[in-house]
Amino acid sequence: MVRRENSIADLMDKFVCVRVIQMNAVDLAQYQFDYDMSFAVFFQNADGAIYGRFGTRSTGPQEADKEITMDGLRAAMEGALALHKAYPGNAAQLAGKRGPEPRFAVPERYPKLGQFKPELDYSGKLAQSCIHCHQVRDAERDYLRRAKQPISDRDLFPDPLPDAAGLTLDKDTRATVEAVAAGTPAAVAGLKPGDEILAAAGQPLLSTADFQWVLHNAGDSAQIPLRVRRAGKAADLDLKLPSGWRTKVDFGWRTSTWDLRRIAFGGMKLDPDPEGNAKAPLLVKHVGKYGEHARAMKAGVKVGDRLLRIAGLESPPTESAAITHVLRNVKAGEPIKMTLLRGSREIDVTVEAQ
Amino acid sequence: MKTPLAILALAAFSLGSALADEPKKTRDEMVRDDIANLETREDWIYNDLEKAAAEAKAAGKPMMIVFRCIP
Repeated sequence: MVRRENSIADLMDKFVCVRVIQMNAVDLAQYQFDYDMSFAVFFQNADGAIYGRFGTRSTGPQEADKEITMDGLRAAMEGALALHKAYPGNAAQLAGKRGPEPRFAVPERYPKLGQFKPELDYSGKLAQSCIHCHQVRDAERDYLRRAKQPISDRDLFPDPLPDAAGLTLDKDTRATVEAVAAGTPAAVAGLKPGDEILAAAGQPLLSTADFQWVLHNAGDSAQIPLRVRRAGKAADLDLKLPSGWRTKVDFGWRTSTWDLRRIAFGGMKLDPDPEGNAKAPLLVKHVGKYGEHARAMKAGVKVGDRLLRIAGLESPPTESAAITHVLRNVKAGEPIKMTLLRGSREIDVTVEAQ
Repeated sequence: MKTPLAILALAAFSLGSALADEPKKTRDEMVRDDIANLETREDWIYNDLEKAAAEAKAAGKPMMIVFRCIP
């Protein structure tokens, strides 16, 4: 982009383009997005009105480009320009694109990030002075754990992909439905491949990220009105999300899950067992060696162990399910009892929750 | 063929350090390279949202803000 990628160069001239490399001093009331992104775009008016977001991921850095393309960015840019042209007449539609008031105005006011300064240390250790995006989410969760408050599903399962509602969107478009899974809320709503979702919850959509934003702010159960264009005609549909819809999402790919492993497991990482043991479907892939990430290792957990149960939960099917169970049932400072399988031997281990 | 955006973005922000025979740069060095590259460009504002808002207001343009981790 910096080199003016040809496919969007003509549109870039129509924007004031800004590159932000850190979260230090960033206004958290204004800039709320999926903080596990390493590339995220905001389109907005100079007065702060948000036109939309761009940038989606569902996997680790190896496949970071899986859900975004230049065609998709171009479509989002064109949409942003159209919204800008119609502004402020469309201000009411854009109101929902701004999030709730944050706990702290800027990231460095969180206790976990208190050592950071508003400015980067250009004359010293520059990289180390930077607050990374994912650290904002880490800091919010840390704040809640320290306060012995529950981490909400919204904070634990942020920015769900559309497949949480049963649909996928074409990454080369703003929000055109690519596929709908049978029996899902999207199917029940009547969405069909080829439908162009123009608006969700009254908000015009520029991208998959905009749809994720609507899902992110939906409740435990929710009804989201959709305006779609099908074969040139507009139609209104209702996307009904049943209770617990959000919690089926796997968040293991997220950078911020690293800190959840510290909190919930004392620093071990769990992967699906390639041998497919139903009784112990998760394998210890890694144990942290340093600081608070080393608690599992110090308690005796070893790479290659299999997890039989944790905090009373038998055979957790995914790492996300195990983390969620611990966070909901064990407060910071309380013991987490685990039973591991090492070869054919069962081993009991206790780690203190953080 | 569609061009994966993240690959382009990574390529664009990883400045001149891709030559295999070059010594690997530290993260600080890569950040400083990144700053040096961006600060010479007239079409990008580096890390200054207030300046960007003022320019956008004066020009009547929308803002496109790219949050991209340091290299």
